[in-house]
Amino acid sequence: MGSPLKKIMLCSSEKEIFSVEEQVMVQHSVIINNMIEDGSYNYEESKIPLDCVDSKTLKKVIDYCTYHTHHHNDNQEDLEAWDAQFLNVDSNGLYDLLMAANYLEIRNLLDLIYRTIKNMIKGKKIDEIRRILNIKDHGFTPEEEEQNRKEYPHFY
Amino acid sequence: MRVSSSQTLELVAAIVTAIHLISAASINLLRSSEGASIDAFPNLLMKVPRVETKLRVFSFKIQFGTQVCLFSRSSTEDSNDGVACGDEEMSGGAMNPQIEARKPNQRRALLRRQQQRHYCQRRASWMRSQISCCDGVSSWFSHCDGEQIQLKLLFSSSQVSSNTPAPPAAVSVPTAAAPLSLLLSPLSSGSHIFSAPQPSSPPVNASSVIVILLRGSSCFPDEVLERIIGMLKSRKDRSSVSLVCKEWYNAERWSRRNVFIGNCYSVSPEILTQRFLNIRSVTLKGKPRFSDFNLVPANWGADIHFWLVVFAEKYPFLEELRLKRMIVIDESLKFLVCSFPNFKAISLQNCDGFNTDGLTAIAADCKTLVFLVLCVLFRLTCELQRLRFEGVHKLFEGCGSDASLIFGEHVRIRKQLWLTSHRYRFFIIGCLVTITVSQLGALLLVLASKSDKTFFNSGDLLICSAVQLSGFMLRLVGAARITHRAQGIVAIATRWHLLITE
Repeated sequence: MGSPLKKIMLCSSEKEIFSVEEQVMVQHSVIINNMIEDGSYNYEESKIPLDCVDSKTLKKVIDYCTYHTHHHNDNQEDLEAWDAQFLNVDSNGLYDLLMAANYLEIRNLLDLIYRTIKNMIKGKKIDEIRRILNIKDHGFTPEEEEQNRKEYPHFY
Repeated sequence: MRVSSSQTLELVAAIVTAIHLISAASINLLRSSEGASIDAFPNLLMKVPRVETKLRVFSFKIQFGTQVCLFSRSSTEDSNDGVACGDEEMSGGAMNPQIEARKPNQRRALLRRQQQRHYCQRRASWMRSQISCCDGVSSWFSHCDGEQIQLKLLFSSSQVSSNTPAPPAAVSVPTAAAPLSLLLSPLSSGSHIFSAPQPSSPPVNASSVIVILLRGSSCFPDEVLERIIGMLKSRKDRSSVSLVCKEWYNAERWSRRNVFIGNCYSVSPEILTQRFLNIRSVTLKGKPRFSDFNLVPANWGADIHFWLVVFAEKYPFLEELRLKRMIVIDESLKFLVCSFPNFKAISLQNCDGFNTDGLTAIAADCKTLVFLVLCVLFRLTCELQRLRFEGVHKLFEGCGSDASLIFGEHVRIRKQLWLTSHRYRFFIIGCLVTITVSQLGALLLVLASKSDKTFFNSGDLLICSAVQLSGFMLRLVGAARITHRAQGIVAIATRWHLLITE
C-alpha cells in the first residue's frame, strides 16, 4: 500500500478531475480500495472514472471522507454535528449523494444517509412520504390504490 | 430475545430447580440400587472399565409444566449484517455465545454461504417469474435494477463459495453485467421504448447501461430501499411503507424478517409465504382467549403442523417461533428440530398437545441444555466413583489378610483413578475456559447493543450466568466429594498397612 501522501485522481461525470490523498479514499470506499489493491492503478497516468457521480456530489463525498479521516479521533458529538450539517441538503442532493455513496460503497456515509432517510419517513403517513421523497408514480393500478385506501384508511 | 422481567426470573428459577431436581433424582436412583444389593453393587461396578459408559443406561425425564417453556439455542449469529437485518437487531439479545469457543468458525461461514445462496436462488427464480410474466418491455425495465442486484448477489455468493478472495469489483461488474447487456442490446436498438436520459453517448460497456437505467428510475435501487426499510422497526411503519409504491412494497417483502399473525385462521401459510420471502421470526396466535377457561371445544383446531410444513419449504432459515394457544404435537416439535438448521428460540404460551418426548427432541439439539446435562453427568460419575471407593473401603475391612486380592484391586483402582483424574482435570479446565469466554462474549454483546440496559432486558446474560454458575457449582461439589472420599481411602489403606506390617 502506498504512503499516505500519494494522490489519486478521480474523474467526475463532467470530466472534472479531483486529486485526493490515496489514504482518504482507500479507507472509506470499498470500490477504490479494491482498485488500488488490484495494482492496476498507475499513480502517474491513471484516472478513476466515476461516470455516474457529478462534480458537485463528488466534491461533497470527498469532503466527507477527508473530514472523517482527519477527525476520526474527535468526540462523537462533534462528528454528529458535522454530519448533520453535512447532510443539510435538498432531497435531490441527498439522492445524488446516496447514489454516489452506494456506487463507491462508502459504508459510513451510506449508513448515515440511510438513517437520515429513515428518520424522514418514520411515523409518517403514506401521502407525506410520497411528498417528501417526491414519488409521483407509485406503480399500483388505480383499483389497487383505491382498495388500499379503503382498507387501510389510517395509513393515508 | 427480549425476555420480559417475569419471564426471565421464571426461567432462571426453572433452570436452577431443574438442575437440582435432576441431580438429586439420579443420585437417589443410585442410592436405591445401592440399597438393593449393598455388597454386590460396588463389586459389580469395579468390573466396568469405564464408569462413564455405564451412565448411558440412565435417562432423564424432565417434567415441565405446559405453561411456559422457552428454550434458547445457544448457537450464535453474528450481527455483522448490520443494517441489512434491521429486525434481527430486535432479537439481538438472543445471541448466546455459550459454545462459540468450541464451535468451528467454518460451520458458521458455511451456513452463511448456504443462506446467501438460498436467498440468491429464490431471488433469481422470483426475477425469472417476474420477467416471464411481464407483457411489455417497459414494465420489464422497472425491474432491471433488481436484476443487477440479483446478478451482483449471485456473483458475490459464487465468490464466497469458491473461497477465493473477492476480486476487485472492476473485474466482477462487467462480467456480471455481460448477460444483461446481451439482453439489453436488442432492446436499446429499438429505442422508441427505452428513452435513456443521456442518449448522447452510446453505452461503452454494460455497466454504464445499468448506470443509466438506475439513474433513469426515479426511485432508489432495491438494495438501498431494503436497507432503509430494514431500519424501520415498528409494524405500523412497515405496513405504511409497503403501501407507498410498488417498488417499496417489493422491497418490504424482501426485507421483512418477522411477522405477527393474530389469528392463525385469518391467513393461510401459502399467502404468507407468497408475500414475505425471507422471514426469520414468526409469532402466531391460535385459539381465542376464552379457551383458557375451557370454553372452546377440544377439537377446535389451531394445529401448528401444516404451518410448519410450509415454513420448512419456504423459510429454511427460520430462527424464532412464538406460539400462543396452539396445538403443538410431539411430531411437530421433532419436525421443527430437523427442518430448521438455524433455529434459535421457541416460545410456547398456553400451548398443548406435546409431551416430554417432543421436548427432549428439542433439548437434544439445544446446547445450553447439553452443557447442563454434561454437568449432571459429571456429578453422576463423581458419585459413582465415590460409591466405588466405599466398595474398596468395605473390601479393606472385610478381607483383612488376603493381600494379593487387595493389591490387585489397589493397582486397578490406581490406574483408573489416574485416568479419570486426568479426564476430570481437562474437563474442569475446559469448562472454566468456556465459561469465561462465553460470559465475556455475552457481556460484550449486551454492552454493544444500543438499547437501555436494565437488570431485566439483559436477560440473556442473566440466564447464561445462572446456568453456568449452577453447572459449575454442581461439578465442584462432585469433585470435592470424590476427593474427600479418596482421602478417606488413603487413611484406611495406611491403617491396613500398619496392621499388616505390625
